[in-house]
Amino acid sequence: MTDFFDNWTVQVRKGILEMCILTALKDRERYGYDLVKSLVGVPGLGVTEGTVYPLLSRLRKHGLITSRLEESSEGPARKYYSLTDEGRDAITSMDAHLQTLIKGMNTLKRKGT
Amino acid sequence: MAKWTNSAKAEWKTYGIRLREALKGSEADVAEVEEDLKRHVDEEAHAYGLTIIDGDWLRQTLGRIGNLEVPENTPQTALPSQESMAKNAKPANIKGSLPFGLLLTAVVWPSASVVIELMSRFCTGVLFDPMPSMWHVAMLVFVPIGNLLALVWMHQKEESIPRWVPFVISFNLGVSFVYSMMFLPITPIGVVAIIYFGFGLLGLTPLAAWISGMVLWKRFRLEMQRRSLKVVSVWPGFFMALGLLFVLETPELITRIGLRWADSTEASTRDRGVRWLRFIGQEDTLLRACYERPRRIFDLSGWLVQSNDQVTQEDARRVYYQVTGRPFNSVQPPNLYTRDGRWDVLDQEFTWEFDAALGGTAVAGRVSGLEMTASRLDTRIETSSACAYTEWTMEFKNDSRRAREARAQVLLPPGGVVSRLTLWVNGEEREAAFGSRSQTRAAYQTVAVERRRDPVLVTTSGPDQILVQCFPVPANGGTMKIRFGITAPMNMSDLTHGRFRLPALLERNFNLQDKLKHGVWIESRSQLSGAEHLFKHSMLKEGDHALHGELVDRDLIHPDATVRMERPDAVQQVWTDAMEAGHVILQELKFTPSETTDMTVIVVDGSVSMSKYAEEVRQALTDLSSMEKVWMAIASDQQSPFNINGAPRFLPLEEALQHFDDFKFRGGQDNIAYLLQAWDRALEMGADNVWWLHGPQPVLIGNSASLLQRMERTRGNIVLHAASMEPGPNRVLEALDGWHIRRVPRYESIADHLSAWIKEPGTLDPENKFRRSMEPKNSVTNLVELPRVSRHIERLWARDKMVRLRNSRKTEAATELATTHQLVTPLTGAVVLETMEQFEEMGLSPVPLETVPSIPEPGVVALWFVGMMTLMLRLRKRT
Repeated sequence: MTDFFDNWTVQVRKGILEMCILTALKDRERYGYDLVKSLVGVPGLGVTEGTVYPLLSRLRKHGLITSRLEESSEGPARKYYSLTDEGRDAITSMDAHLQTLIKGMNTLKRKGT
Repeated sequence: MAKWTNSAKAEWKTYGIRLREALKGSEADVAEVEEDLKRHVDEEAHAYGLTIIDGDWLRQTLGRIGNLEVPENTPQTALPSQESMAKNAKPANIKGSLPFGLLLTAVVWPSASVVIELMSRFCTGVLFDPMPSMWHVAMLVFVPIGNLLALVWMHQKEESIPRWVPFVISFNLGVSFVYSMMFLPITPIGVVAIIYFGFGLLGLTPLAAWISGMVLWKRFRLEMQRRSLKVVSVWPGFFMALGLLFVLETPELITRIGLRWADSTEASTRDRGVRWLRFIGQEDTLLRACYERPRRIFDLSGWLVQSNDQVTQEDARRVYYQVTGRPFNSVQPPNLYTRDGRWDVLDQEFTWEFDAALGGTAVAGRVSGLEMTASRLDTRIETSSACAYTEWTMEFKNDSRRAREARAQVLLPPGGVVSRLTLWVNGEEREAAFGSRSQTRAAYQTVAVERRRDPVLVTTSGPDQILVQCFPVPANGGTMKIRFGITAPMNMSDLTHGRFRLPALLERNFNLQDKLKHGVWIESRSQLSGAEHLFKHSMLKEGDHALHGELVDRDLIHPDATVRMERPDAVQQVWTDAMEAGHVILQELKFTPSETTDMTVIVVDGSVSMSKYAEEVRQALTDLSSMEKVWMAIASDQQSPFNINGAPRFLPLEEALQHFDDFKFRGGQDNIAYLLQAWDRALEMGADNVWWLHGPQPVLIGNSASLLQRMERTRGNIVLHAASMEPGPNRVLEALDGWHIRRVPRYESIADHLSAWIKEPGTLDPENKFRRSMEPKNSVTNLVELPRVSRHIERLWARDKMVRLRNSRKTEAATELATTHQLVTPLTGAVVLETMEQFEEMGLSPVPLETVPSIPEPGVVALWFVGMMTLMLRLRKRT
């Protein structure tokens, strides 16, 4: 049971991780370190830096996010990420799809009772 | 930006290879991901304030960054499992093994120090007690245990760290900080000791624990940041430790402040300190102060009351008595002091290099290992002369590793005087030399204390009281045997009835062997009687009566141990040859009523030891109301009708009795100030006596100089009757040794004694009924009609004359007389040395064996022999 649940959470986490990254960038641009730390702090997401950076690279290649480098007076140069228009459309679609899924699942739960 | 070391660069290179391998075939740009991750590492180092990134730190950081999770190209592409990822990556969490340096300084070192201190009590003996209570021990033990637990948890792979981990680290930081401050004054010494002698680690333990605690906390913070957990504050645990230690220290601190006040030179501050300690003082702390060295810079109370004066052991012992009313050595030392290690330290303090009492005049505290193993008292009562001679033989054994001095104060039979002293050297008896008090004490100190040979010394230490001391009782099971003889008059109530009290131990620095009883044997030609639960009666072959029993220590001093003698022949006058050629000593027993008195001044000791005798004292005082003028006060350091702003106040008896029932007997009181006032009042009103009803006075609180001056200058016009309600040491009487003091013997209740005294003042003085004189032999015409008795009456005559000479300030003549007659008096002492060379060196001569008294007295044996010969001759004539 535990193995099954662990495996299931891995699948859920992976499925939702990209949406979480896009959501984190929805309101403002964030530099990599800040973004990663905020995602690492999300309970249950179980994400590490090793997971986030390859995903950011992939999302950038898909044109959902864009990045720029900026010198920082407090430390090393920072790479800021922000959503592109495609990214905003994608998050809207993903959100709508997720809500549909949750709604359907709730309907199933009610029928079950 | 942080600088990367070569090891870090090498580590990164290895990581890059793995990274590229892991991302092969993924949609991610490998170079970009590698660059992003490197930037992330730099950000991390910056966040922690690192200026250099080394290989270890990078490995840990990359380990925490975790497995590279390859994004899927397509939904159908299966991701490698967590297990397979783990195989290719380092552990997700920090370091595999615990850091050795931290383990050593935060765990091993503090643990070892606590264990060593608990076992040896070294710091306690040399500086101060760092663990005065079990709570302190628990807090200090918790430091290494807590640090170890925190270290272990921080090295676990779990993402979260329990809340207790930061609390434990910060709590231990607080504890080690406080102790570091306490040990700060000796930290430089510890450093120097390590450099030059290779030891001193104990003193540096708190500092090491504090520094390692701070390192631990820093690592913890880093770990929290790495795990992206909220970094908690260090202060709650830190201040909780400070608060807890403060709470633990507060009672001690309050007591130490009170102790400082009670030791002040200002009378008002002293009184406040004593009151403070009685109210909220901690007895255990006071008791520890009686044993430990002055705390100096370690005593926070000194800073708080801004006093640089050290509270010495002697000061603390005085204050302890004032506060509790008990001498410090009458109770068990505090718990932690009874451990073997601790006791060893105390042994050194009290019995060897640090033993201030060695060779001195104070009995002081008990020493371990020394005990009395045998004790016998042999008494011969001479009916005709109404004299008793008692020999007390004592044996000591010392099981400790150091030579010991046995010291004891002995209460003599009323009116008694020591007339013999013997020491066994290699199984042979050696008799004492008698000399001036200073001469004998100097001889004892030279031979015993400096050369560690075998002497024994007896001097007086108050009226009817002596100090016996012998040194060294050899270490490791060595023994010492001594004996001293006491000549004492009987207390005669009339010509045919007399009473006698045995000597008793008042104070001792040795223990009594388990269940040791004093073997008592009293014999006489006349009928003897005593309490049946103490004595058995036997008849001996020669027609002697004997009382014998095995008495425990407290029985000896109890009024029940009084022995009564019947004297059917009611002899009034006896004689013996005097030491001076051609002279005899005459003794007459005469009962003439002495002049009654109707005035007295009474001082009642207000110490707590008197509280259980309050009813008896009240009864006795009520009996005095028949007298015309009686003034009274209860010695007290509290504001009361008898103490107005610290000054003694005497009231007429009737008024004083009205306040008696409300009076609270507390602590140990200074009686000297009241006795001084009583003396002046007696002088003022023309009374010839002062009564002092008191408990034990184990500590001299006031200054006796003024009272001594008055006693000396009034030349016996006023006599102090000292009635002890409870046996025990009496430093006041010691200080007033020999000056117009009469110790009231306890044959019965104090009320009975007072009633008898009102009717017949002479009744308290055993010598009052005896008239002794030295006369030329040829001037006594009726000598042949009088019974000839032993030489003891000459010793008592010499003692009486010595007192008269001393009172008239003829000290030299008095000393010579007492020395010649081999008596221990306030002016003379007796000392036994090991060899004749030592006697000669000290200008002393041991007394010839034929001149010393014994049981039976040689003179009596001779008398028996003469009597038997006469009887046989008469019988032969008849036949």
